[in-house]
Amino acid sequence: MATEVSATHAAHTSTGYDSRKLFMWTFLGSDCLFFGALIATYILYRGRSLTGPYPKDVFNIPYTSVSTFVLLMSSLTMVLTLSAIQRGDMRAFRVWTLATALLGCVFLGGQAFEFTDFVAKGLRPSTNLFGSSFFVLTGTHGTHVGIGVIMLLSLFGFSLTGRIRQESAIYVEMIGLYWHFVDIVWIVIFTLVYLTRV
Amino acid sequence: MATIAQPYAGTYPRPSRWEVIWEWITTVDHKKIAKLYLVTSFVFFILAGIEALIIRLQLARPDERLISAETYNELFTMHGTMMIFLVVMPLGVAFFNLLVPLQIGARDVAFPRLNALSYWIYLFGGILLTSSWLFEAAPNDGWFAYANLTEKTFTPGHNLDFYYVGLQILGISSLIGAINFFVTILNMRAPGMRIMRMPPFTWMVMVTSVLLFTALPVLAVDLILLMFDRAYATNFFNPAKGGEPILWQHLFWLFGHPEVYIMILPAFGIISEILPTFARKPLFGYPVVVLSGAAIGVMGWGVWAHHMFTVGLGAAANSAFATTTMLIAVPTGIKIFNWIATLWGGDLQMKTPLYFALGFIAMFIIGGLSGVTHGIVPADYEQHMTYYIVAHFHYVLFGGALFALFGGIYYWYPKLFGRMLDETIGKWHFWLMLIGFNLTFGPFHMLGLDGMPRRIYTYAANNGWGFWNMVSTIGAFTIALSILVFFWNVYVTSRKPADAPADPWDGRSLEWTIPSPPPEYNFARIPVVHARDPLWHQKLLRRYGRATGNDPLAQEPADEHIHMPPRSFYPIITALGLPLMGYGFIYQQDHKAFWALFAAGIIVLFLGAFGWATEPTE
Amino acid sequence: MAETTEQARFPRIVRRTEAEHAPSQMTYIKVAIFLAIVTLGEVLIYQWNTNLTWLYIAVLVVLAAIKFATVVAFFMHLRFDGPLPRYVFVFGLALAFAALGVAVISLKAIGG
Repeated sequence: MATEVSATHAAHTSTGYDSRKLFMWTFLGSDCLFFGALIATYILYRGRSLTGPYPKDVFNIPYTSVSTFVLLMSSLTMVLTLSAIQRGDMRAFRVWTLATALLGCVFLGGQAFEFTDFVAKGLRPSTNLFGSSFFVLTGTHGTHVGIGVIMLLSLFGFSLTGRIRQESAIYVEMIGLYWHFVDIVWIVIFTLVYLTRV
Repeated sequence: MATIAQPYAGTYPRPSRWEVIWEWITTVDHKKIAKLYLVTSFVFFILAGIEALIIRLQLARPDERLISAETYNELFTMHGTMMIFLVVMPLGVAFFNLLVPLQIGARDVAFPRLNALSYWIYLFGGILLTSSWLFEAAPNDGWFAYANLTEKTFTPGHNLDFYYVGLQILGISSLIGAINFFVTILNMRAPGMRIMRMPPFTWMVMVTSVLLFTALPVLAVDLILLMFDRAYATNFFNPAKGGEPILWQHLFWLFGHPEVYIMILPAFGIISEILPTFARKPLFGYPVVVLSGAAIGVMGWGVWAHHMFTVGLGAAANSAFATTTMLIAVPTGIKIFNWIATLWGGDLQMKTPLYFALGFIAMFIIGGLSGVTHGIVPADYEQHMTYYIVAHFHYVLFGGALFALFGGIYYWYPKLFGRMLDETIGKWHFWLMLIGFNLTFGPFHMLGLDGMPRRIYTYAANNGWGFWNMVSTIGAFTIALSILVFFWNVYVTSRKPADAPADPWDGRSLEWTIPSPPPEYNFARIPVVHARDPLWHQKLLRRYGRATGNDPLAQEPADEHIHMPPRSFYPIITALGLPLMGYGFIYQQDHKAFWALFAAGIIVLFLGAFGWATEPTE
Repeated sequence: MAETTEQARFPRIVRRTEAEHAPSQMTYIKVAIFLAIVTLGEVLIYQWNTNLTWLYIAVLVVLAAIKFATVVAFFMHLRFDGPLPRYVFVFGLALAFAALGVAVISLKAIGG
């Protein structure tokens, strides 16, 4: 018989779902509209910049695809994090939490480097429509990643002091949902902004 | 916890002033939070009302020079912005807080500390927005802040910075609250409280919550784009670099139209509660009424560009949105017919709540009809930007939402405060308000069709608009008088003993089964619900001698220990971080040193969140 | 006492325990490998392609959608959870597409 404790064992709620989990899914549903509006703005302004630099002048797709891969792998480590705490394996939990945060930082580092590279090539938020919509969209996404990293590091810290135990798996699950959402937003951005660039 | 000295058996010393203040600052009790929202909204209501009175004084006569054009722009912008975000919406939330847990048979909302957080963020955001007057930088480009007038080149100064910072902060409050109530309604219903047995008000809260958490993110993005254009010279609304100002309008009204349903659906819910009680008949067509509320919510997402008919979107877009706009009148009309059918043949109890509900129906029908006329595109070409539009939205928002909210205040006042508001004074309030309201806004229909544009600070005498403007101003002061009458009612009532019965109106829903005001834990024993209008159901069963053991009126406590969430200091601390960040961001554009204030705000936010996450919840 | 109230509550709601449905670690790793392969495929298609044709865009969008759905279904566990979270999330997603889609189309139509 599995020794796992399910993360959301029979919640005493009218729907059977833990309220915290439902909260996070609802928040993510609302975040779809948030990123949707930013992406819509980007798509609207695609190809309408009056002056350069244009995407083809600055994008380095192989570089960005490494960033994309890093973020995808961080989703894997995130789900392994959750799996670990659900099993009660706190050591593995800490390892995978740190790994996820680290991969998130690598992604952010990659973004930061990309931004400075673009600025060096003459693309700033104020330069043209591409600059404005690109930096605001990816900057907002990066901020979301940053908040996620802070939450992960907090989890790590709390687990060292014993505050996060197997029973707290629901919070890891919530942060995991948030983290995966940030990943899927990047999946959309990678395709619509980078791979299908004008 | 301080031990309480008991010099005499059965007596307790009164809490000190500081203990009381601390209790309010740290409360997570939805009933206390409801009172906080109620009082705070009324403070902003007075301020926004004074702004309106100054507007009316300026417009009472032609060629008036009471205030400058610049100040006039700030006045009408702030009047609209404050009434929407700081008055009507929070008054609605006050009722969400009071009623939702009680009506579904719960002891509190799903996330009590988040609930408190929503209130404190609202308070601080409202203070920040209103403080713009003190900084002589009140928002001044209309509550809708159309681009690219709002770019820094055309509106220098911090007026718009207060606008986007203030609304962003307020949006966070509403977003958190919406998800909180949505989860509460889904997850914390008493046994047997199926979705189609819920009171209509709670049903409307559910739909409103969905509208809030879907529409607010779009406004958030619009405000972010504006922020970047103003603070960092991006080009989102800058035509010189290819930017499209109409993007602002699309994103704004994608929020803005659901927003008006966010304001009116709770009012619809209140009416659906009041009418059956005072007609002594169940709500006619309950399933149709609640489902048309849901339909309005969904369809409300499909009509936004009817605010943009004159922008030049083209015949195809205009026709499509005109059609959807016509269609949305259908579920609204259905509700009105059902309300009339509820009254029809009922044993009408002519009490103040019913007066306001009847006033609502009449005024809202007028406002709704003028709204339908806006949906006819060529007609809208004449109406747009005139006082005819101002007439419409005041009829639906004041004659509609505010009348319903006042009705709700009279109806649920005993539940929240343990006292009944005076009936006679209440009726004076109603009639003065109804007459004043129609005197103020009725003439706007004529003025608008006669060509008086919106947002002008004065007008020449030869337009012939002087007479109706004067009538309107007299009406506005009549409204002000009626509000004073209401405050008089509140004062007189406060002097009476708090001895209202649990069920003064022969109510139908669960909130009337517990004392007025309720104990902190609401229900001694969580009720089991067997039917819609569970209290009437119980009463009828008892009358016919078929009462079940699970009598919701039973007051003896249950066997299990009732655990209420403890109070918390961290919601107010966390909320405090936001205005610090806000002021910091607004003024860092002048002096880089203000980044320190912004950083301090982030630190306070994190300290609050950290304390929140680590405090014991048992 | 509490137990009878529980059962009186909603007998039709099945207790949701994740332990029965949680995918194994191996499954997660396989999913991650799948995602990596699809990403590699996208980049290769990008490199080989010279023109921004509708076919190219369609293929990439489909691949992105597959990755999106995979992460949502497996990593976010939506495939194994009941209907409510799915409805809430998909509602937000669908609304975003519909409303913002109409706005963008309308703006492109007049902007040129």
